[in-house]
Amino acid sequence: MSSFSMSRRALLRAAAAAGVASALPVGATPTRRRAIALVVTRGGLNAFHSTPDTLMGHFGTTPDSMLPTGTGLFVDKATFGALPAAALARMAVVGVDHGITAHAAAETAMFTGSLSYPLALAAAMSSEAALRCALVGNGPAFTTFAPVPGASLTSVKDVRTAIDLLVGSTRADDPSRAAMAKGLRLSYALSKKTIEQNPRTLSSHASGYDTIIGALERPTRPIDWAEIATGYGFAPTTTEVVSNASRFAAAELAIRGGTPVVIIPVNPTPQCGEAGWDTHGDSSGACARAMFSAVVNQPLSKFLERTFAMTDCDVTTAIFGEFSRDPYLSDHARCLAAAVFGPNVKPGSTGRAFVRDGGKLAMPEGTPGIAQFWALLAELGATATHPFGTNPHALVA
Amino acid sequence: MSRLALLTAVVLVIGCKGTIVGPLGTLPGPGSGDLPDPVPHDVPTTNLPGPMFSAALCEGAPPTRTFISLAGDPLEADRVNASLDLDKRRTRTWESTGLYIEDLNRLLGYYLAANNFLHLATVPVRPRYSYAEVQMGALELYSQFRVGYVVCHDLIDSPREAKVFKLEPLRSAPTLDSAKAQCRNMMRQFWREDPTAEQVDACATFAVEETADLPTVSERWALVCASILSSTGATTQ
Repeated sequence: MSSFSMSRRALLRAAAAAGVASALPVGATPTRRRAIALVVTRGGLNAFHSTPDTLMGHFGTTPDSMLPTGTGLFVDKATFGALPAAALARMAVVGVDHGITAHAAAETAMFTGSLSYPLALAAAMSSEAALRCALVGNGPAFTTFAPVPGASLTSVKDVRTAIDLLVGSTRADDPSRAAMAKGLRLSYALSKKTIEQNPRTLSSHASGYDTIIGALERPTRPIDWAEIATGYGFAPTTTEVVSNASRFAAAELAIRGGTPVVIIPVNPTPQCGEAGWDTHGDSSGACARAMFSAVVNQPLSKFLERTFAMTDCDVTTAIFGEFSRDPYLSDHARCLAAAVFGPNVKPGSTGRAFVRDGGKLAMPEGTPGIAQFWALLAELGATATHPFGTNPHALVA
Repeated sequence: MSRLALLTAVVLVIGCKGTIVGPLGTLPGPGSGDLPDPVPHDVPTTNLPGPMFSAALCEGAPPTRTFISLAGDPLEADRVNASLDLDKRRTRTWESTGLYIEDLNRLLGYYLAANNFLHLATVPVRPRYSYAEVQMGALELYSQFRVGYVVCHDLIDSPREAKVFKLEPLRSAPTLDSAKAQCRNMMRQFWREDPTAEQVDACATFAVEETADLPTVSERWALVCASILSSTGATTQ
């Protein structure tokens, strides 16, 4: 297992560098901005979805259950096989050998070291957006998102407020954005003493003020929520972020609004019991297949289709749980195979999971750990610095 | 000093070996004699200048026992030696947005139908696990400010006299004197505590200088009112 820590000083440097990088000189060639979408299946994500060829004979994997992507990889035909061909052509499988088999410990380790990894990534990415990291719907329960220098988490549980902020409110009784920004500056000034006396419990207030004042002082963006909602198959009047379709739609809204990192926890269905993605006993993989097909395939496909078609932003989408599943009784594995899709992804695999004696899932010797997974995402996000160290995965185009 | 603070101080003293250092001087810990009264009798228990025990720390020997998590990390690695006067306040949460609006009505002494504002309101929600700190996000702040502005504006524009505020002074453009008085009034009402002179001055200066470009007097006062309503005096407890 790898351990990883990052100093606040390093983060400040990274955030400053990201700010410098975003301020392109006049006449410089504009580059497409980058965004990272983290699709999280809390409870685990079976590796057979993305690397069935190395798990042949387990989880119901047969030659007929697999689909070649055309890049030397195979995916499970019933689940990942239904994703857009353009996305599969730009898919990589990333191995993470973290050695942890407890939910809370693994989830915490995947998201948080000395600082929140998604926020550290967001702080280091080049972006002019004030909303640096968005969580759509309810987040991973064991993950803490204490703000880091340059980024804080914005939770989006209903897109109405986010739309008003990003696109601009049409309410006649709202004050102007400039007036609101001024008012919130006073509010912040009045709160400073209390925040200083409560540095741990109220740190989110400070970052919240910074974020919202920054957002109000930036110009609005023309984003068509009705078009997004309709694209995901629901009415634009549905603004509460509850269903998986609404989560992916809200994630797209945030990305179109300039947010560089979006976290999308996807709900399972109760059809295989209350444990959801924690599919104990699912040795045939039937349960995992049924759930994924029922509630993830369609909105994830739509999200990939739409983000791959974006002309101003390269979106990388990573899907993973806190661990994969052991073939023996679908128990908790001590490693995971994440799938990463994006226009800058070089197809390949560093996560060729295999089965050891006793039905345990294993990764090849030397498979990198958690920090290196984030280092790959940082490179795909074109961070100005290397907040997670050097990326060892040769999976960037 | 409140009962809670006194009890916490006693627990800290009992839990420490060595000495506890604070602005009231150095207090002996239990390892060095009888348990002292944490507050000397000749020190007034209210209106003390500055925080109590601002640097109170356990200075005994570090623990020798370690607890390894399933991830292989020592659980005590990130344990902090917290100061007694820090982190007492928490972000306020509401069970529903409707209750949040009701709370606003109570603070303003004025009834506004919650349904008119539900679509604007995003309030911090208590997390599923109690150990997770409630976060105040940008959208919650934005939402609370907007709702605060709308209800304040509605109140100030109301032909009725509100129970809590005298509206007559809010129907004239703010002057430095009137702004100081109204800022202090609102802070006391919304925060349930006295503001500092610096806070009142900052608010009054804002009311006079920063709102001058707004078209109406009620909008100027509403902006002041919403700023106070969305500050930590009202959004934390």
